[in-house]
Amino acid sequence: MKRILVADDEDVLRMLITDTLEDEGYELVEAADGAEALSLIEKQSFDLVILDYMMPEYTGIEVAEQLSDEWKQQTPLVMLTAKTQEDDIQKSKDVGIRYFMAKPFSPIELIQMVEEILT
Amino acid sequence: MKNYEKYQQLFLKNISKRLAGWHKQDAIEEKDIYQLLHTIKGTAASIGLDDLSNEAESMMGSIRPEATDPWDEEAWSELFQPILLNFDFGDGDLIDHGFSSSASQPLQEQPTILILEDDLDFLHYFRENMESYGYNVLMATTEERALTLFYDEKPDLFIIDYYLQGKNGLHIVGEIGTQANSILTPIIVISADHSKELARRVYETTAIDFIPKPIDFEMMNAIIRNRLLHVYSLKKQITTDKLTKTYNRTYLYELLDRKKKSYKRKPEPFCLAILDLDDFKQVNDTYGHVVGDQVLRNLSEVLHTKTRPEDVVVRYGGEEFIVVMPNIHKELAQVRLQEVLGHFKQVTHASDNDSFTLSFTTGIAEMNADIKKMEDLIVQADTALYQGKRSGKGVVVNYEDGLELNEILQMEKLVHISIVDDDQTIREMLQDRLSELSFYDSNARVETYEDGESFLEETHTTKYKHVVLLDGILPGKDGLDVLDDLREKDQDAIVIMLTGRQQGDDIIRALDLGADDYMTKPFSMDELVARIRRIVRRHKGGRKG
Repeated sequence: MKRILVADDEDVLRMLITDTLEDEGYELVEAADGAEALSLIEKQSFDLVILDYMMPEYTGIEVAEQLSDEWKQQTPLVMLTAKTQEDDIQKSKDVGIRYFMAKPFSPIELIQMVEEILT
Repeated sequence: MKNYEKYQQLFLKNISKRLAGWHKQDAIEEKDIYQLLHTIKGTAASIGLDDLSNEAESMMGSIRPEATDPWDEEAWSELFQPILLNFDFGDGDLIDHGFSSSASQPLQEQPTILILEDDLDFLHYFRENMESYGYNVLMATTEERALTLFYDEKPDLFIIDYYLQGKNGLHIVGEIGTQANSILTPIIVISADHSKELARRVYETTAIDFIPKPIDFEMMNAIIRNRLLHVYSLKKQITTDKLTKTYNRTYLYELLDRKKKSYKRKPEPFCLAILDLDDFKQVNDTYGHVVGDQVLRNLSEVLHTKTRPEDVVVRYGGEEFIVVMPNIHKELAQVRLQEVLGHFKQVTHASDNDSFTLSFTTGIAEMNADIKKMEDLIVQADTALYQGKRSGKGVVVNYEDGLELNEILQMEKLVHISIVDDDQTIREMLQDRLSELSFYDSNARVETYEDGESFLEETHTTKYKHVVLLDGILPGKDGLDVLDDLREKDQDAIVIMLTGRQQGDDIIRALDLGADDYMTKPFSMDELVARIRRIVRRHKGGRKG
């Protein structure tokens, strides 16, 4: 079973993502801020990591910055951003993030993106 | 299409919590507002609250993301006015929607049949016969009267004569057919005309049966019973939680709607209790969802067998159950639910290679004349539940008047721990261990300082319980001087001095200066943790003073 880490301080959105992807048969692990996400990444391996752009402790960008290039080669990162934030996307690309999900998104969009990345 | 209701409710609750937090502060910073609006904008639209998202987006136009300008409550509540309407728990769309969509008729011992028939002789003959089979019969001779009775009395079944003063009865079937379908009211058409053509036209409508006159009442009764049983089993499916076989929210709202009406007519006491399994998340995390589901079924079984037959058990959400208890005051309800809790705590839950026991926490609210909306009763019970969780779980708490949820949420806030020590090893060791401590479901927040000056510079908000672990000997300003300075500006912080064995005099001075406790180095971590827990408990109800 593919393991996905979702890091978002907004627990409702995190829950929605978890429930949606668990229904699709993925195994989900949750982190409520950037620091928790980092410590989970250190200890466990994931097939995909979903990061929210704006988080306390470490932002999504700061989390990505602290990950090695080698790790980022192996594990795809998805950044959740606000639709209008063009420079968020540029900043994310600069730290090696390849996938983006603009908020708001529908569960279907999320599932499609995850499937595309993981197959 | 996903059902977003649970996310929406939780989300609105979270926003309310955030605003309740602001309410306790003199002023907040502009960037805090920006962040909240940003969150609302992004999340609301993902869970089907598009209007709220749009509203937040338009509000963001005038707010600067980095600004630290203070906003007082008057200012921010004015800004939030348009959307405050959206997340008032009492007036919220969500609950209202829940109540109004459950227009279906309660399951009754004595089913009510509405008949539309303009032949008075037949009407009385019909009523006499049907009443003898135990039905309650409502009679209408005109379409207008029938519609009024249909909408007001919500009959379980509707019988229409095809021929009405020359007009045809299928007209009214068309008019109410969809409505009747959606609330599961079967329509039967009767007629003196037996023609195949008429029968076909009847079955092309939403009517469920076509029965020729003269009526054979034995047969009529069999047909009606058959149709009603079918409807009841459908209704049961719609109102049953599949996992635990308890009722679900759909039924709860229907039940509370009825309860409210009957209380208005005749104010007999009843209580509503919300039960929430303690540490259920840990069960799922440790043993997996299969075991978690079994735990929910175990709780459901205890609730069914150990409550009174007239009590109604509802799965309210995840690991939350509601028990509606008729004819009982809250004091007795509390005793009864404590008994139920006692039974449940003895139940052993099994996983593949382990077994464990659990408890639940309960909040109870009793109906009274001041409660206008049933959601308020749920909120009161929920408030008591929060209080129970805060006071250590595994308890049954009655709602007390004047208890505000906001105050309780405020009290359950984080515990902050400041470590002031010049020894880096000790700082790190303490931080690692204490960061794992949790109080009332939230982790302690730990800050470290290498000397007294940097600690004193930091302003600590007075909202949290603040525990200070203060080394007696520090470079620069000495530990005792730091304590002295701290006490001048903050009487409430809980101070534990860390001292060497030989420093008896210092201990006495520290206590004189207002230290709450002391530990002599070297100390055991477990002892320190135990002391912190004890001392935090002792200072319960927020800050002393």
